[in-house]
Amino acid sequence: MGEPSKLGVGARGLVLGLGCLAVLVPFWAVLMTSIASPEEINSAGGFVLWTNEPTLDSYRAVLSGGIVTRALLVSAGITAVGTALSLVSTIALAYALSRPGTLLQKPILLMTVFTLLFNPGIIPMYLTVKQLGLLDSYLALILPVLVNAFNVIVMRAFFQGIPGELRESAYIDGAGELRILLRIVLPLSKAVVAVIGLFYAVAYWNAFFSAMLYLQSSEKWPLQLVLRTYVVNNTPIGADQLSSNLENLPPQISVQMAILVISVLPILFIYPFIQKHFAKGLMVGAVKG
Amino acid sequence: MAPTFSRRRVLALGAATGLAPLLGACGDGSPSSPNSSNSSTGPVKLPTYKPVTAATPDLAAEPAGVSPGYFTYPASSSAASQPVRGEAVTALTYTYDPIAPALGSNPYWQNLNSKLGTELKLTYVASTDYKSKVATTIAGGDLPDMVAIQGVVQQMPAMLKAAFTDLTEYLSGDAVLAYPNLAALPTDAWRSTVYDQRIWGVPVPRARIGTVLYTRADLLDKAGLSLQPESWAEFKEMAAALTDERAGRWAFGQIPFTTILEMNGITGNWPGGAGVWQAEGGVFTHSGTTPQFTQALADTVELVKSGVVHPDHAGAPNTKRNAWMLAGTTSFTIGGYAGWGKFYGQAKDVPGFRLTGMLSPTRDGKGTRVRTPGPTLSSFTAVAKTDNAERIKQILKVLDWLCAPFGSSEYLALRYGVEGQTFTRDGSDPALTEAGRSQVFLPVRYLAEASPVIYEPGNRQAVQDQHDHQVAGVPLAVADPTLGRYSETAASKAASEQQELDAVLLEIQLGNKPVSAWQPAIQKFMDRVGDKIKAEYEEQS
Repeated sequence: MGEPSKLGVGARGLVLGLGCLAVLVPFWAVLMTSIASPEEINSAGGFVLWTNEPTLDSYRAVLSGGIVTRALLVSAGITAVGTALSLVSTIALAYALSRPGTLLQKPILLMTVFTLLFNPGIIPMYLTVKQLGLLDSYLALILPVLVNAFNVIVMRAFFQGIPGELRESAYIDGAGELRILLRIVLPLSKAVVAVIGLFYAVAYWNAFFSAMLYLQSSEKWPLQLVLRTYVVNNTPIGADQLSSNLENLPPQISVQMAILVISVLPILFIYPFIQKHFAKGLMVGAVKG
Repeated sequence: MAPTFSRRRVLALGAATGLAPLLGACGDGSPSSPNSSNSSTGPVKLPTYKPVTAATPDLAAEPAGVSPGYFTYPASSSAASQPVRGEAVTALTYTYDPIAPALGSNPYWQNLNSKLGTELKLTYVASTDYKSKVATTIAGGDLPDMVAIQGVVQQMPAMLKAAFTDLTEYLSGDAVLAYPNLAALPTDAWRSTVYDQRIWGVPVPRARIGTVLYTRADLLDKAGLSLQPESWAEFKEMAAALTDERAGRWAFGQIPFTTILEMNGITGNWPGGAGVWQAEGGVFTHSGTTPQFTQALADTVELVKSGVVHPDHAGAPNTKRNAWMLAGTTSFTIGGYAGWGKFYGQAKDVPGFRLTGMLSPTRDGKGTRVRTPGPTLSSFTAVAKTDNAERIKQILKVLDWLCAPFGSSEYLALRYGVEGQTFTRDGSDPALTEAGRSQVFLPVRYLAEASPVIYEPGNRQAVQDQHDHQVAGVPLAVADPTLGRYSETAASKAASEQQELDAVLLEIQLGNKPVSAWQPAIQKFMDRVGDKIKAEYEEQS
């Protein structure tokens, strides 16, 4: 192939540039609307693309009282602890299911796959959580979703792709199963662990429904549930209901955009650090099922 | 996140609808027949109505159903009622507000508890999640003392009977007078707490006026238009005069279908089909089957075609419509009455902003106008099943306390908290402080509250306009004949049929289907569920 023509490069640049704009402009609008003044929002009738009088009122409204800050810590804690526990359990189960000769391998695998097909539904889950005495406890947000069958299967497939000879030679050198897992298998599986870890982390970070069901005291609420009360609820001026206390708040749309920024930021910060694994991990199972 | 959400919603709905039969089954074993009107007790005697006022209103609560108006907060508060005492009371409710700080960092809540004389322990979730929360809590069998019941679910009478206390002996007739603030709740609101001729809870009342055709009076004045057109022809002229597509201005933010229905002499809320039943001499008719409805549809299509509705109206959320209204992009929006005050809060920066409500004229400018009344209540608060009469009385006293009237010191504690801490005075008007604002988000008002009043601090005109609209509109309201009646078919089977009907309606309104598509659609609805609902209602006459 020869040098691309200037026109070709220009055209490609333009297309890529437009593509980037299509992604960035909405983000920009969200950011600008969250800091725009009420007059600007009123005159634009919605989203604002540029503000001359930036104000942090919306952020102040959302962050005042310390509820959101607290919820942010709760969410971070649940995400960190949950992801760690989930990874440990998933790796252990996937490894056991991937190596030949595990006791009761077939039935355990079937049971795992079964949960993929049949969901227990809300009320049986609630009753189980209640009878385990987990109501109003953070564990209720982690234990019921500790192991995700889909993630187990993906990880098992990856482990199975590691040549059996590696395991055997370590075995001959005197390594036990735990050592093989920690020293041979896991170092070879960084990509899949990163991806599955991200799946778990995002799920824990975004979960609000289980928190809504299982946590009675609102001071334990994670971020998404707290933010939800701002976004979902104060929408309807003019619904049959009244949330009169919002009269003095900044415009709703501005508050909502501030919330969007707050809830998106943490994930945005984490992403660059695991991105290199992510691109690789996505190929997992693409060739080998 | 979106796919997860929708899956969960589906599950939630499944749970909510799957739950009730289960409860019925684990009740007292006798198959409850919700439609039986031949209850041995006969029609229940509703609580005696006896208004209480802590302060004389500036604008009287007349005619019946109109809310009293206050220009300023009454300076002198009446003496506080007796605190309740006794052990802590737990409650489950919903909220339309953001979350409030927890008890430990919420002086407003602490003050409420100390005034109340007992600890109020509140669990609450966002209104959209409430159905799933209630369903799981009831299924778990571990109910708090008080539970807000919102909407009608299937097997409602059986569910109430299985899990909640029959409050009839405490509230029926003159018995309610032991709780003076509860006796001041409107009779129509109590009617919606009755199932199988028993009273199951204390209503959270709503203003009778209902949905309002909000009008930017300042824009109409500027265009030299009357704030009250007198006929369909005049209404259309007004809409055309307010529309200027080139300048990006339209009359309406959504299709004013309810208004057009009312012009044609019928009531009802669409989509959803609430309040669409008419009754005469015990015979129920679905307004969708009447020729007036078809006429209203034809009128709507004509109006939409004339281009006076904002082109992005379909699918626009309320926030968007309200923003159009504030920006003057549209001159009208339709919304619940409760939002009136909020518009003023958001329109502080709009010069000359004035909001009025428009009544629906009659089509030919003659005859009587009609109006669709609002829901009588937002929810009612039921008491978990118990035989302990003392406990029930204590809980009712708490609810009574929460219903303290505007102007009383309890009301001040309920809405504004502690003077100097959560609110300060601007003249006699209380104004929440920065800290107070989030503390009062505690949703006690969705457990019980007094009948609404009109009060817009520092905005006399707004109070006057709202009161004027109520005085003009409330007497036109056509009472919903299904109030206090229960149809199992409507509660359990009608939802999907109604959705289908709503979809056809929208297609017709948008001009994608001819008006003639309505007859077969409504006929199908009647065949599948409508006739059965009609029979169930008529049976209870």
